[in-house]
Amino acid sequence: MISMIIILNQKGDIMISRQYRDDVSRAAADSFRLQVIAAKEAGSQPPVKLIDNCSFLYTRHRKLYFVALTRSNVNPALVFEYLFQKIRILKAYLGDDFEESSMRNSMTLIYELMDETMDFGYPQNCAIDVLRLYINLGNVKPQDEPEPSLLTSQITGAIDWRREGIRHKKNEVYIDVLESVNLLLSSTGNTLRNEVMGQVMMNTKLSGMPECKFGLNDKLVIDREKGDPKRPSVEIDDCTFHRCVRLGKFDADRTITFIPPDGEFELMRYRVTDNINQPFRIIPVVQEEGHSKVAINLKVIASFSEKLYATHVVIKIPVPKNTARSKIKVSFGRAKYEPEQQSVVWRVKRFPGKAECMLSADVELMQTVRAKPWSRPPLNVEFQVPMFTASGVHVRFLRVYDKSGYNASRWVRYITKGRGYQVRI
Amino acid sequence: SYFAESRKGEVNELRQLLKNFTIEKSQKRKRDVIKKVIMYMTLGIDVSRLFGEMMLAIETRDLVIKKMVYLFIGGYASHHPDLAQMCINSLQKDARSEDPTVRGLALRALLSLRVPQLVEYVADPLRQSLTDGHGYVRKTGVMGLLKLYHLDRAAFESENYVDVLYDMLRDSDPQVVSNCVVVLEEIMADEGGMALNRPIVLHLLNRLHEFPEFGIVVILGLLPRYKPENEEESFQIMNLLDPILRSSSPAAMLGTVRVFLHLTGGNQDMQRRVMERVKAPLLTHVASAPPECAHTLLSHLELMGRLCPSVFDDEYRQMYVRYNEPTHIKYLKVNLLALLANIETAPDVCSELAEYVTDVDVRLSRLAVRAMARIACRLHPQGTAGEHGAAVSEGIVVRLVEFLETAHLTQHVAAEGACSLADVVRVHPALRGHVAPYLPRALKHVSDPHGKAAIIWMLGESADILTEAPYALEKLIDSYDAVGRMRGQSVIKAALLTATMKIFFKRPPETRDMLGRLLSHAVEDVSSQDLHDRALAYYRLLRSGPDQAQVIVTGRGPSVDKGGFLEEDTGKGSIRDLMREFNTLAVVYGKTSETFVNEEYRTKAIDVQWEEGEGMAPAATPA
Repeated sequence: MISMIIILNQKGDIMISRQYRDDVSRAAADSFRLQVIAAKEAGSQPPVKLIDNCSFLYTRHRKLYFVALTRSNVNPALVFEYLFQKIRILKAYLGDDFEESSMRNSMTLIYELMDETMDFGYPQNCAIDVLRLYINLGNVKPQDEPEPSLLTSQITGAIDWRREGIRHKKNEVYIDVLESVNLLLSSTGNTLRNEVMGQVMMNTKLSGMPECKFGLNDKLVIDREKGDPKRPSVEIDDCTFHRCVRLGKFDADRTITFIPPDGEFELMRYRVTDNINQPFRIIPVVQEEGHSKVAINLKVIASFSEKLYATHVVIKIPVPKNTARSKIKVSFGRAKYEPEQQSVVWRVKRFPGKAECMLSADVELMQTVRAKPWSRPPLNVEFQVPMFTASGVHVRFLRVYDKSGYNASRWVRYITKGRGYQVRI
Repeated sequence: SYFAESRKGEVNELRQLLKNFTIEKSQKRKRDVIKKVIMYMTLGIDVSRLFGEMMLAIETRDLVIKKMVYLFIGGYASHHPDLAQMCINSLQKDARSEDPTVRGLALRALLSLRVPQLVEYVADPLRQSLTDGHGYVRKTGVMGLLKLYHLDRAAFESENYVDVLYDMLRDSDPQVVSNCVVVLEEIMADEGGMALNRPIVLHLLNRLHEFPEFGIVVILGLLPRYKPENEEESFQIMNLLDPILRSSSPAAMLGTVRVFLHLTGGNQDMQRRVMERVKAPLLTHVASAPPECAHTLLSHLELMGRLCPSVFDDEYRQMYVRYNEPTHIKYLKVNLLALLANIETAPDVCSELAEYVTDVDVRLSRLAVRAMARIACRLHPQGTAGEHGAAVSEGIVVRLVEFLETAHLTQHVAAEGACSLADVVRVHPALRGHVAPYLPRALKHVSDPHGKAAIIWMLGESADILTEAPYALEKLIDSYDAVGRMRGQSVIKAALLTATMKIFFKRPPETRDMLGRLLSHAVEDVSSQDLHDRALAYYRLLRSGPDQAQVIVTGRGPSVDKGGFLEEDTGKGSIRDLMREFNTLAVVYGKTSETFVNEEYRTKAIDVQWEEGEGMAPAATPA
């Protein structure tokens, strides 16, 4: 069990501390400050730290540290999930990029949340939708609230992620299929890693207790339905689901059925490793000419359809630390040397499909006393391609059934992002 | 100081504000005052002097204020047991309120007082809460029992609360049930946790899908102590739990893995199948989880990889390091690469590792070098992989030798290369031939003490195949004073002494003189007691008869036979012990819990005994 949760700011000052057991003291926060924050350990050392037989499990949101203290042999994955959930809850209440000042203003609210999500060191129900129902920033006077008995039955109960009696004027579902492409190419152009991590995000505004059935062009399903064999389908390596999905049903016949929470949530995650359409081909040539010059030639080809375009394309080409000047030519977009990134950064706001694009740069280096070899870090590419999925996944259907029999409108968006898109040079 | 003074002033100001509290009309202003008190409390300023005033604020219908006052009381009641008595009445009244939320809150506040004298006032509301019509009150009451248990064991035991808790496992509200389980687990930790029998387990399993996300993990945590009646029941449980592997919660997924591994009862064949089954979900979580969770998952993956070698081999590319990952993840991945490489993938893995060697992070590059050496040790024919393995590990040794040559550029790489090569040679002396010719040159360039010592040791081992070995050492002996000025001189000197002794027995005529000089230097050396003693011991040994000395100095210890595994692969807390603590911090730390958990927090380990031939037959397959 957890003895204490503390939230610290960047300097290590305690902002919130909630003690659930008396076997740790506030002094423990000092040792955390000294040994982790001051030692700049975060990121380089494991997120679990043992000090005097007390374990500190921590994570960060922006500049804040969320720390759980325990003296027993806890389940670390569970503790981290609790901390992540805590951050998610605070985001829901205070906004996605909440920080020190916004927390100070809602101190009382945070304590309420601390008490409601954990009792004597054991996590309790953390579903945001349900918490929000009865911890309201204090705007509503308790006297005017609806029947208290109705409220509390929601705090517990079988479907703990959705309350009853939700009404929306318009019944709508927004589905976002977000894919992030992981690609690692060696300097000789071999593919070392190539996979897609997908997320299906939903935002539901549905009345009542709707039953939903959701279908992707999953190869296993399409093959079984013996539909048109030419219909494109995708082999999904593996997927995980939000807890509202009936997992037994999925294992039996791969249908995805659920009663959704109200509002935004992540329905599923999936991983695809075969037949990936990489949106970009990147061919870099980086040559060190003696100790004073580096010549860079880069060719980028967009391989998606010309009807689409990529946005926010940022290509970071690393250059040595002792770079003095650079002469850069690009066929479009803007590129310049950014010393703080130690890279030539090339930005293209709108990159049309099937386009081919070149960059050539001559980088002059300063003379250094001791010539240290350059470690040649990989070239990094970030981008977004709307209405494109690298895996080929698309939504086949979403059916909504409710007793009242309304029709829900559905909106589907796709987007592929380049996150871990790295080419060694 | 001025600062403390002004703070004191502020507290007095607050007291003033609180005095006017009862006549204040505005709800908002009322809240602000209380909020300020709580804020001070968080900052660590002692506001316990306001206890009396805060007590008056408890009489309110505003839930927000109530919660804050409860928080305040919980924080300071133990400092003011006498004043705390004052609030008992209002709390007891609240515990009978019509609103279940207020009932629950009041109950929680009553039990957070932590004042033993007040236990008698708590007993009644607590008992009533357990049969309350509302789940929220009941679940709070169940946790309250645990608080009572810690506060006043006699009061807890005077009522048969343990039986009540067992009865409440049948409660209609899953949160109540999951709280009952954690409370029983903690109360009965000395007996290894709550008692499990078939009806209880089946009851919990049948309702598993009702539990909130953390509740599932709690229930899964119980199952490794349950022994099914027969094989069929094991399969039923596994089929029931199989869908949880698709859950988006890594804790639930790992919990399921643990139950599966338990149900296979140590049957290796079945264990392997379980690993095959969980491989995909595990890797999905690794790839998509935030780094903190990925760290936990990778630590477990490493343990599973050691338990069932080769299951995860084909996924080695998942362990390729990304440039912008947190370094703690990189370190784990490099170690995993060393574990997953097999005869086919070793060349790929090693070229990948070679990329990390040039990394700016010194520790990463050292780990990468070491990982390559571990692969070489494991794959050599004396290891597990046969003839083809010899070629692969020779290839790796050639790469490692190249690192020796880079001493003028990256000292740490060359030094780590030397230490790693020494390990390889220690395990597979036959590979000496590939290393020896480069040693004399490397000796000059490597300045890191441990690297240098490793090279000296290898020279000592290679005197029979390398003509210039003694002469390389002689140069060091001649410049003994210069060695004394080096960083880490005692390590180098000790290695030099031992190596020279060994060479002496292989080629006495050439080395007699230099050994004599070295011994006299070392005996007179005052920089290290250990060195002095060792030199003296060698000297006396030689005097007592060279034959005997030879047996002692060059005698080989029993050969290391761990299938070519180095200590890193097999040691580090035995796999078996760690598997018993799967899905806990023990795996993350890589050591069993008794090394880092104080005794009062330990749960007594109960090993479910599987008899010979029990567990699952290898032929059976889960559907």
